[in-house]
Amino acid sequence: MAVALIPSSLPALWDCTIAPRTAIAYTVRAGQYIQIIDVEGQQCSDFLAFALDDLTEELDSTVTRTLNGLAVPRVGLHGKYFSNRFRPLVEVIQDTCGRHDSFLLACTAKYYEEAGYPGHPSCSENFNLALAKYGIAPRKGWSAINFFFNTTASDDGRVTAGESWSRAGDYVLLQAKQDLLCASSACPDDIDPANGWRPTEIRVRIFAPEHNFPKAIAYRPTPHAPARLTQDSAFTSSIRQLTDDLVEYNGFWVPNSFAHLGVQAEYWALRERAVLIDLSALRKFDITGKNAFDLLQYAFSRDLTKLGVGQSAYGCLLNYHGGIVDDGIVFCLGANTYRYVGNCEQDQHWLEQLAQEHHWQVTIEHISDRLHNLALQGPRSRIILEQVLAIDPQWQISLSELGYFRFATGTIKRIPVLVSRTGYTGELGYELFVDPAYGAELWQILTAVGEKYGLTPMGMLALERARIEAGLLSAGREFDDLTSPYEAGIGWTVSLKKEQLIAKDTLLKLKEHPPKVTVGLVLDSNDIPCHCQPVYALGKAWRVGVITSGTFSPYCDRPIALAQLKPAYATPGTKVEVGFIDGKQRRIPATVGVMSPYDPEKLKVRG
Amino acid sequence: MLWDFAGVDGLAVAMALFGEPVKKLAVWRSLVTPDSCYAILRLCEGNFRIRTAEQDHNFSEKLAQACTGKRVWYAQLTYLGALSFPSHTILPRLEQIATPKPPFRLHNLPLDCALPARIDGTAIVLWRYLWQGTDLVQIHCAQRDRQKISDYLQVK
Repeated sequence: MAVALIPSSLPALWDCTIAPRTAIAYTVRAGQYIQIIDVEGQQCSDFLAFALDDLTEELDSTVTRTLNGLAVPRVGLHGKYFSNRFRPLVEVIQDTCGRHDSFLLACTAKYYEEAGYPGHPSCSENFNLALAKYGIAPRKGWSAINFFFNTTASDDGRVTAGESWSRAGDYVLLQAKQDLLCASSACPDDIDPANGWRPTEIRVRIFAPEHNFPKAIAYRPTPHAPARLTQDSAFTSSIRQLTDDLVEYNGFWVPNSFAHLGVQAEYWALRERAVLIDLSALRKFDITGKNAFDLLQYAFSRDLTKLGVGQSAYGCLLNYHGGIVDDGIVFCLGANTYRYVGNCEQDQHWLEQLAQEHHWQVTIEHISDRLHNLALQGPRSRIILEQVLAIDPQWQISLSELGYFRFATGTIKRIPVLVSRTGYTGELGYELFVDPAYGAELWQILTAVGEKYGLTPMGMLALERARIEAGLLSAGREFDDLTSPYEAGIGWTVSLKKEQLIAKDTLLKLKEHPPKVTVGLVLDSNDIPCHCQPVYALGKAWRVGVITSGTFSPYCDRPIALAQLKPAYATPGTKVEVGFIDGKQRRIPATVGVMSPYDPEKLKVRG
Repeated sequence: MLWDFAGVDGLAVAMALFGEPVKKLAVWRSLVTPDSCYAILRLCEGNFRIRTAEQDHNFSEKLAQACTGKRVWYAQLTYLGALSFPSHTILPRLEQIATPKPPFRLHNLPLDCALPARIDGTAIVLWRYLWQGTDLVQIHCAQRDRQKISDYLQVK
């Protein structure tokens, strides 16, 4: 299922190196692939395209931004670059850098002149030279797509540029949607950070359509790890039959929503019937060895002393200052044999580092490639699973007896699974971990047996609504490595009674005086709050917090949010105001409440 | 008759008019009221399009009342044209000539589903629902394109 990067040795129809500070023009046929490679790293390459049969039709970055709703097209549903006639000229198929510019002109003589470098070569002039033989009139500045050019547009409207994110060998792979005349540059800019003050060469290769390169984005699990392309999970082939709306998440293609269903339909299927969710992008690690317990007892927030075989516990991995490295679940598989299921590949390195520092004998094995997982969630999940699951006899338990945060092994029509009574939806539900080889078969079995119970697939957009309603955290929203569990709303997962716990002294202080507290908000209007919106004291000019996640809650029939507020404003029932538009013009009153307006007592998940 | 309303309070207005079932409608999905008087299509979080029975002359008043004090606009869109066809005759033809906007799928389009599409570059909304006993596809297009779309579909 892993997708390989295009090897530099793969024979191409055409292979050209653009010397530093120059540009070339070349033709491409519809369906062919154009690979633009940053050979040494941190080198920008501006790109133009024209319809070969009518050179007045050209790539238009403003049309492209508008039609995609994105600053730069992204591999997937919104990956096409459009012409001034709204027709797709190229589509990005693979991208190993992920940071490009579509706002600024290819560099111009005027830019260099005004910076004190009259006569300096520019991409625009180089394009003029390269395109002259095709009868294209010169321009003072070309509106180009500037690959590997690192620009950002800030809230105050400034467009700023910095050193390129691209590394040696990074590339963009485009597919021509019609016959094209293209131009590519190796940008000559050596007077600012754009090319790291050192212009280098760019390589362009053309491949035949028959290669059928898969769509993928590079993912680097750690800063120095080699790039890995977006992969399918064991269930993606089944999912692709039901939707074309897939997005990259944590290195995997995951569905946003499903054709002929939609967010609300999937959401209500979860709350009233049952849904299947592919959560294979979670990362799994087996932690074994003489000191496996010691390591987890130290690094993980929960007290694992009483965690027996078949039990699991939700908590978080912490760093030295009490920040959350990741949240996840520890499964006890046996004496000094644990499994951690979380979000980040870096977890392994962090745990290994801690083990090394303490001279603990522990083996941490990354097993995500060997174990993909489906969540079967909703009030009918148990009855569906009961039709097909046989729990292994040694557990001496039936599915209905499998309690919250308990797990067992078993088979579903002879497919070995680990079934865990956990989820991320606030509903009764199970997670099924399976060898990827059985993924498609497991999906088929569950959808067949679930049909009469109204089982549907569910995508990430509906899941987002459900998890906010259930007060469940999302990395990058409610927590990061600067946020402690006491600020993120999961202080209850921290066992300060443990003898050994990383950052224990800091956590003791944070528990007493957290700088902020996570709460739930219910808004008094139909305006839907978003991440980062300000929260104000009632009638006051100053902020008391910020929205971390917001949605319209179908269950509450109101917009709701998770927010992090100053503790003085976090008491349930407190009235605050959420700032809309520019944060000031419209203030919507909101009431502080529990993080989980949906089933706050967690009766459904325990039921 | 088609009516549109849209705004921050669009869902609240829809619920006031048609009750709780509306809140379960996904975007680009629809429902028909049990009395078959209204077909309700949700176009966005707070945007709705309503088909009313021809004889319902009171709907404009009901709509105006429901919208009072709410942050919504409502209108009969004079620029919007509509064509209706029995599903069994028109869907095979549409599958040949209409291009749905990705990620929408026209193949096996179920009842109470709609999607944006184009026929030879001309924009349409294609909406399948059961209306007073008939499984139909209603096509919404710019009024100015009505004849052109009709010609494409080879139905006068």
